[in-house]
Amino acid sequence: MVFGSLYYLTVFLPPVLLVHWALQALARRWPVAATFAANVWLLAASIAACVLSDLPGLPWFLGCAVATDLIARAIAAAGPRRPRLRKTLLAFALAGDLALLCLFKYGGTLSRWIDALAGCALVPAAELAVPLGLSFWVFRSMSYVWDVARGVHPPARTPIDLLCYLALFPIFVSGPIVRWADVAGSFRARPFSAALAASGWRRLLVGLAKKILVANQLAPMADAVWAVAEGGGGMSPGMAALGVASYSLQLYFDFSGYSDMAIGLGRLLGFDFRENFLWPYASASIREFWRRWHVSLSTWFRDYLYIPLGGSRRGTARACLNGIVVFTLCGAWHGTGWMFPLWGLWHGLLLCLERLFGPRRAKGEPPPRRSSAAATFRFFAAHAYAIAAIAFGWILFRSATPAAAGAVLRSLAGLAAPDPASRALWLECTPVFETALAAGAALCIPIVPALRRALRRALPEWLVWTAESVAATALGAVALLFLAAGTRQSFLYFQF
Amino acid sequence: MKRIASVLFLVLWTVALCVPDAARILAQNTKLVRFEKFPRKQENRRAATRPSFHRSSKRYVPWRELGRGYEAWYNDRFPWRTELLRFHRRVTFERLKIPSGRSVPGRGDWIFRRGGDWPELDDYLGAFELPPEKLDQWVTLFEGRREWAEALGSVYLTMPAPVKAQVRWQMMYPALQRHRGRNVGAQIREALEGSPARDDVLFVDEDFERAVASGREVFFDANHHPDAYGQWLLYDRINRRLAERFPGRVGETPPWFDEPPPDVLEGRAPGCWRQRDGDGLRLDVSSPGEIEDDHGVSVNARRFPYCNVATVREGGGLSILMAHDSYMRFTLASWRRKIGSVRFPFAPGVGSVRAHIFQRFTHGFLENAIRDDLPDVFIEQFPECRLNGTVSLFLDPQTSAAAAFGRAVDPAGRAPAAGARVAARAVFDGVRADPGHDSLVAVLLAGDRELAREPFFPGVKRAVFFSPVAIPADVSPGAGLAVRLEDGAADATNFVWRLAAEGR
Repeated sequence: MVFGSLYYLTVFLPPVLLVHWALQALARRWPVAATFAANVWLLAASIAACVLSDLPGLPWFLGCAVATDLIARAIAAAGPRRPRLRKTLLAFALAGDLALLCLFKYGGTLSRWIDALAGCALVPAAELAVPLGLSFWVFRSMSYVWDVARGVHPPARTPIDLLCYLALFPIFVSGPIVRWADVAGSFRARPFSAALAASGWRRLLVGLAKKILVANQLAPMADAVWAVAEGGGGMSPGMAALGVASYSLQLYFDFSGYSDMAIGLGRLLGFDFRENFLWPYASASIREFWRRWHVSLSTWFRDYLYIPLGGSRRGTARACLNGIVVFTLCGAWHGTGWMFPLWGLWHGLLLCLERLFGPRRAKGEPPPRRSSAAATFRFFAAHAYAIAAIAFGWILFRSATPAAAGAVLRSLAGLAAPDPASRALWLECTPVFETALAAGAALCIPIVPALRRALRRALPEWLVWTAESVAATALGAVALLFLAAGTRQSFLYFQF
Repeated sequence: MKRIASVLFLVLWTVALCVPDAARILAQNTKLVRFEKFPRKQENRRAATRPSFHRSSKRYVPWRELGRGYEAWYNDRFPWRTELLRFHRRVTFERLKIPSGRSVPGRGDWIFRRGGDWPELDDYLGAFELPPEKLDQWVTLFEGRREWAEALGSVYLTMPAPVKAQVRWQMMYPALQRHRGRNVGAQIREALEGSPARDDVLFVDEDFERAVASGREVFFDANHHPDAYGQWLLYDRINRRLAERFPGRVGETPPWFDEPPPDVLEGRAPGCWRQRDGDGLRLDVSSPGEIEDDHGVSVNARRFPYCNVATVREGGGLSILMAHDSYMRFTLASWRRKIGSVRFPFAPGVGSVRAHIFQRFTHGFLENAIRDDLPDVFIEQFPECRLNGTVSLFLDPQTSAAAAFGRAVDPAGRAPAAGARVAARAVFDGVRADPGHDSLVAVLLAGDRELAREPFFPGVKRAVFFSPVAIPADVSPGAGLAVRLEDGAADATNFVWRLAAEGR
């Protein structure tokens, strides 16, 4: 059961929301009891969603959540006077979380490696079905324990709150990786707000439309191009470029659509999650890209890996090394196989090069004014570099093997003889694909916020708000029609 | 104002998402709301059933799959699902021209197909470039079949019929039209240049294109079949070739005779109407049954399981054994199927036709089919886009040997020299197996030295081909080649050998 399914939207969501809103309304009179009841209700709904989506994974999740709660309370009870115990408990919790992650994500690969080295079947094939959302709830669990150990925040008031936070259905499957510190207040009190809930609906509908009307329409071209590449065939440079552009936009609209839906659902329930995508394709460097793409993941790696490794405090060389290590691990987090770490390594290397050779600005210094022709050229060159580097990264990310990535790259460079089978790629150039591509290219840069600002200057706010709601309703209705017709595809980030 | 708008928006969407469940409850308990049934025919499946926990139940679903099972069950019973699907199809497929699965919409109501078992658009774009060895296999198949039939005194015609995309490309969307490639049919036509089988492989693209240029329609818009006129063109091409191969025995194709009268085209005639069944407007194609005249072979259904048309004309004439698909199923396209018998557009001079639908000829099938009755003509029709398929399924050793014999050259002397590679053919009339034997063996001899053995079956006439074989050095010089029968006998034997062509 995923966000973009009829079952989720029409069977699961309405009763959950209605009961939750009723409890929020009661919280005005009985704030503590009603909020507690709302948390229990949310937990029950989240567990129900988990049961319906991935019943076999539920025991693993519950085990991890209970252990996290117990260890966090033990860390807090140990107090600052017993640092060794705190560290030991923290290490134990983190090791357990990482072991869980490794067992499910790399168990099969590791057992195959061991068997290959031994030349016989030493280790039983550990091809376990990965529990739904494993990477996300393990990371939330790790950040929670770590922050308790660092004294960033105390443990949750009750185990219900923590379980509810870890199981929260809008963010359970594919994030964003919301920190406890950001939502702890909402577990204590989250009064009903019609404006927040309405903005939540709008966000949910926009996310659904991004996924179904743009990402899904671009998917066939990307899939077809990579199918040719994975078969070892070449294609024309234009077709390869079209495939890479399609995949780049598909990934963005798919994942940012999912994040929009999660944020929207959060608002419907009274939570205000941070933005996870800040127009990443408007970046002028890889460093900027990672401040805009999957923000909750990049900040997680920054706070819990990069900074503990020393960050940039120990000189440029060490900062570069740290960056490379962090991004390689960030790539490995996305999945098994060599291509994901390679993608992470690519980004780590680019960040290192940008650190060494990129323009330096003191903290707080404003960006240079783009008045001269040279500055304008630099501006466009920087964006072109960033887009090319990101796209190269997506080629590694999407390809199952280095050979497939090589086939796409050779085709892009015009070095591969076009395979006759690649001529069938023209079949994907439907009018709707062309429209989705154009819409995706236009909407992946911050045109909508600029338009909104312009409208707000010209029109009363309520009118702009209503116009946006009407647009969201139209988009949502079309997306739901597509959904009802069964054109739904699973979100790309589910596989991570 | 903004607060009111917020509340309205909130209520609107909350109610909107509650409506389906409320409607379902109302439909179950009252007659206030009704939905169309699950479109089992269109989706070609049954609706998912509600999962059960009980192992004994037919609806049992393992606990791991329970969530998925419930979702599938709910999705198939979603209120107004059928109506929404139809609306979605009209919007996306018919208006926005978004492909659906393997169906690609074109202009108007035109639909083309891609991938899978009917890759007509892929072929149009030139996605299939056959390697030389595969092209050679096709040529070998055509030549082998021709040689085999000639040995029996028959004619073998193959018709790779044009598919819609090759002929009606004007009805695709422009982005596709521009990228026409070299299709498989063109590659094979080129490979056949200079081959003796060339004229017996009937390509009909040009006939179709001429018809389209003159304003005639040759294909249905919404399905992939040629319409009645298109099918008539296929028969006409066969008739013309028969007239060339059997001069004076086969007349001209009856002039085009199946034009529906205006009242049929306009849907006013009883029994023939235009129907919207999701594929756009077209003549209803629900046929009451094939026209099937009495014929000996149709009685023995086990030997000829797919024989669906068998006709015998008074006065005799050529006998035809045909394998075809729905492209030549004239009953499918003729407007007359609703009001009476359908006339097949074979030319005068064709006496009997035994047609096997959805059949491709393998050598085994052919050998079986001619056991008691040797036809004058073999016809095999399949769509051009099948030329991309497996050839080896049909290219058996006997057909390859027949092709090699056809390519071989007549010897200069009476006996081959040692080391020479020879291809040989033996044609037997009235073949009988000895009691206790189902089959016979033809043995190729050089003097008293056995060179090859080929098993075969009894029948009115049989042709056996020996694959090229080198004459051993220890065969006595001047020893002639001969064939000997084992486990049976024949009324007459015609044995010919040739020197195999170099390199083939």
